[in-house]
Amino acid sequence: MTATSLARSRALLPPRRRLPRREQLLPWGFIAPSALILGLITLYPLAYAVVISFKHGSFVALTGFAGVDNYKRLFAHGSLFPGALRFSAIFTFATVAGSYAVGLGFALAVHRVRRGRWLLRMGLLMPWVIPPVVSVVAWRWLINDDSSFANAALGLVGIGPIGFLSSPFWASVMVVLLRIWRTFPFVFLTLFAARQGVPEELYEAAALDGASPWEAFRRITLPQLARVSIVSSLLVAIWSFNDFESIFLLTQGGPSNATYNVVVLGYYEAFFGNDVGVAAAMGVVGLVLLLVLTGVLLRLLRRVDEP
Amino acid sequence: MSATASPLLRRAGWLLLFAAVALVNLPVIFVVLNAVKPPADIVSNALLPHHVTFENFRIIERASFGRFMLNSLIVAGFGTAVAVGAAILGGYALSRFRQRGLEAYSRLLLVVQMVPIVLTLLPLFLVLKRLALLDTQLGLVIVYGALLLPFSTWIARAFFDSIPAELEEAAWIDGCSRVQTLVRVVAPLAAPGLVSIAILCFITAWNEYLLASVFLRSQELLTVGVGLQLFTAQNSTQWGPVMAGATVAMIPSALVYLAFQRYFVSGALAGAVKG
Repeated sequence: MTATSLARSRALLPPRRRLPRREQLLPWGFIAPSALILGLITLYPLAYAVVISFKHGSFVALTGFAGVDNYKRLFAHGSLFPGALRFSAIFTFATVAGSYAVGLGFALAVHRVRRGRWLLRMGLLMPWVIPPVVSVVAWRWLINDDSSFANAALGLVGIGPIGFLSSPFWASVMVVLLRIWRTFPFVFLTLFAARQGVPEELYEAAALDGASPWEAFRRITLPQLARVSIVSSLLVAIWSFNDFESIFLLTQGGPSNATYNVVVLGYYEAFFGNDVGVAAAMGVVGLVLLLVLTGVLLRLLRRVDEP
Repeated sequence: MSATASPLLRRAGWLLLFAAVALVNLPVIFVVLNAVKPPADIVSNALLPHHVTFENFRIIERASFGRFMLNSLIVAGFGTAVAVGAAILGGYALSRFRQRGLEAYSRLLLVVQMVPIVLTLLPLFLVLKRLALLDTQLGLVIVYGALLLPFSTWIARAFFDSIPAELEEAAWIDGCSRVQTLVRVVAPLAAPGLVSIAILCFITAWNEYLLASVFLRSQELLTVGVGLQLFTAQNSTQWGPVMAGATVAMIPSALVYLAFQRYFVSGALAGAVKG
């Protein structure tokens, strides 16, 4: 709820009188169960993780205060973290851009269809609905090795076998494509709904004024979809930055460490490394970056909302 | 395809769109096709099976996939129940009360969704260990409850916002308490919305991999996603049984989605608009 609509709903409420004590405590009673679960399972562990990031040792026996040592070590010579950070950025940006392009394309195309629209929508949401483990199994079968289905198909048109999972470049491309495949349905769904909400009169008026379809797209469709576009891109960015399954299950961060993102590297460091402080520091840096990104996008959203 | 396009062009575009959607689903279609192919057909990359066999399903049945499915059903089902129950109460409070601090709480829910799970994984491991909930289904149910809670609460609030307060006030005059009105008046009116939340929660929990793989270790407790992943790692060359396992693992999510598509869509949209 935005600040303005909140103010409006406040104005509609009867004048404030002091509520009896019971009434005042009531909402907190309603919130208590969720607050208890969140506190125990999310907030306490989060605070504890931040503390760990300033300490040395294994998680069975944390030894001493480390200051910012763990954070320094993230960027020390030979650390995989800068590479993972870079890949997280590329992965997130490419997924947002790709999911948006594919989602928007399908949203606008399906909007024009009358017959069989429900079937198209049903099919387009499938990749989002099935478990990631299944998605990865499906993709792995397509691109597994030189005799896999994709390479056999490419062979028919005379393209030599591609090491989809053995070349660092192609493996990076594949995890991005897998992630786009898994998230574009969400973008499609939100943009399709938003596009149906755009009044057709706008397009009729534009057509009378002699606007080309491209002009109508630029001056009507895109601005009308701006808000939903930003919100769904923000969600896709958060999910992609935090994505573990696509990468861990398809490439495990390899080959040659090319596809480590912050989350997968943090996982390995936490469970198979020798210093949990470093793993926690990775996660904290990731969270801070995500908060900054969200802040920027929310500011952008406010600018769209204003006029 | 503009409004002036010829019918022929229109038809071509229509077919092209259906072809594109089929192409998008190709990986899923192959999973199902490969599951019923004899091994020779998989190796030779035959598009369609020469004859349909269910031998692959018998192999995964022996690999205790039935047990995995049941485990997934238990943790996803109860996790959903925890999240929906807490979301009804929390969403109602956020929708109906204007006390100081409630807005801050709803913003906290948004921030919580950004926290990378991997960051809280280790400390959470310690918490569960201390509570003796490690490697138990109850532990995972609570963890799923926390995972699903924030967006469930947001969506529940959005649905409650759309129910006029006058209906409740009438019930108060009849002498109902807040809790009674919530249970007897508001929740039934918001039932379609609550079903949407439950569907989204169930599918998310059924599909979840990372938490299940870290917090459940005993073979007889594994969820189907983790079981499939282990089976795949151990039988990487046996594509037939792997695909049969994948087919079985996606059936519940796909079925729930297909059966409740309308609810799924309205829930997802309510979440996105609020988010």
